[in-house]
Amino acid sequence: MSDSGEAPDLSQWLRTRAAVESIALHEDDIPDLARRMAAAHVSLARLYRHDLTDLDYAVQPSATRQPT
Amino acid sequence: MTGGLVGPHTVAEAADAIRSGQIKPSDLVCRVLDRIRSDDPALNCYGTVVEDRSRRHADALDRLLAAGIYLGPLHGIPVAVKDNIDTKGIPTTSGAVLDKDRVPTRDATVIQRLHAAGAVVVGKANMYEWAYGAPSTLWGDVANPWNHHLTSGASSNGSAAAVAAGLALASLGTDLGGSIRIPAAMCGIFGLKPTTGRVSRAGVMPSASTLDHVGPMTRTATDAALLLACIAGPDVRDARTLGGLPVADYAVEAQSPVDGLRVGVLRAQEHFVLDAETEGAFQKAQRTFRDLGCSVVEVELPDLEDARTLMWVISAVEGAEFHRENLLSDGGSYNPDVRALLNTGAFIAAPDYARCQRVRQLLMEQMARVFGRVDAVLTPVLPMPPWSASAREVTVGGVVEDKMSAMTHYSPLFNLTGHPAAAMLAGFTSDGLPLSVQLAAPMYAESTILRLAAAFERATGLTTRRPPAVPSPVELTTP
Repeated sequence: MSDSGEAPDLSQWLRTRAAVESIALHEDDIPDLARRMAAAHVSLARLYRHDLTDLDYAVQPSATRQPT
Repeated sequence: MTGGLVGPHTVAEAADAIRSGQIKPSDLVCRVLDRIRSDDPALNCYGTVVEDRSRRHADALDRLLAAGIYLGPLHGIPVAVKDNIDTKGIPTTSGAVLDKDRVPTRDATVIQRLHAAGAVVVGKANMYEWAYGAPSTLWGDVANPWNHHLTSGASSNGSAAAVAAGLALASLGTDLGGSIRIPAAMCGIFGLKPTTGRVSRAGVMPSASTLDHVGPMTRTATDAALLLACIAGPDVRDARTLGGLPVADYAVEAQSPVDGLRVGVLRAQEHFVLDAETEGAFQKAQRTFRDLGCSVVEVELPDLEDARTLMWVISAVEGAEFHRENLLSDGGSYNPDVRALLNTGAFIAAPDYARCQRVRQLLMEQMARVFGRVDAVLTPVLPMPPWSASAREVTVGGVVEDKMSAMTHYSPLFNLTGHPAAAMLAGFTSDGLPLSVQLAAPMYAESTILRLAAAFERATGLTTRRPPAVPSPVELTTP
């Protein structure tokens, strides 16, 4: 960890990707953004525990039918 | 001659007074404008107030009445509109410095429908910047009418506080993860997020295109029913509204009995706890529904922590896409917290976003199964009463949490699944602060929510209690 408490490799990854993909990135925002990204990845990892093999496409956000 | 009428504090009371000639639209609008002038400097509910325009509109509505033309229950009703909803000729800024000079040339569909029903837009309500997680950089925060030191958030905070404080009889808000229901709960009013596709979003600034909803914010469920009936229905400008069920006469249906309805109560999930007074109000609400003849059973809801994660990731990614150009050219004008959220979205990997949408599908299936067993679901809205406006973190049950995370325990699920959901006043703390519960129902079953809420309001009488700053009702004089 650096003095700012961020993971150095993540900060560099953010800078590189921002440059390649034209993402607006303020240098002052990077420590906070690195922390947020680290937290987001922990949360996202939880979503991969679901088994979606048999996911049913019948129910859509604007489905007009009443549930059975 | 004295009319002897108490109020009007609600849309329904005001509509009765106008229809019976006890008050003219122009008098009602003037009264609300006076209240805005006297009380809004302390509350900051409004970004823009359109005094001259709303007076002229009300005068025109007076003349229509004199000619025997009554446009309906919103004829002459003063309404506040969240400032991300386009109003022709009136600045519409989304609470953002970047759009401070933006003046739409066309009304949003919901505004066209409010006007057709006779409502008078008195002003544009303050809001969180771009409807994300931080107060407006343009106007600052909105005070809570029940205690000016407390938060009124989240993003439709001006709309909620204006109604609670009597600075409008009703308002419109938008909701991507709870932004109607959370401020409604903070301010002790009724706020309804309709079914996905029930109300057009045409002319509304997008925040998260697959999560955004527009809905009414009012003192009572009956008032919300009156507004919803006017703004709901198909609109060719928003394809998501096409193909839905017919719009009901919600105000009539809201008065239907509720005995025999099955209310499912959230089975506690270990990662989300309630403070004691919120838990007390939640339990009491269950007892009230039993007393009203409902069967109350416990139900297992999808994982609410997953729902919150999905809402934050999806809104960040969709927001990052929408704001991409502005962030490149004017990123410095954004609130740093909003910029951080949007930048997080820019760096989320596409497969992770797709995963979110697929897990969202799973939550839809799980909720469809729940609504196969019950007619409505009851949950809290917030884990605790309104907290300090300056707090960045809150503590519930010994757990310290970011304030935006704490706000979004219970509301995002229904943005993801599309089911209608509303915040309803359910009690008060020992300090006199509002405590609310959330009611959700199957797709297009807004009537079920409104029935239950109206019956609850009649049984408890809670909605007659006003924030301390709101004057006592006065006698009206007939013209």
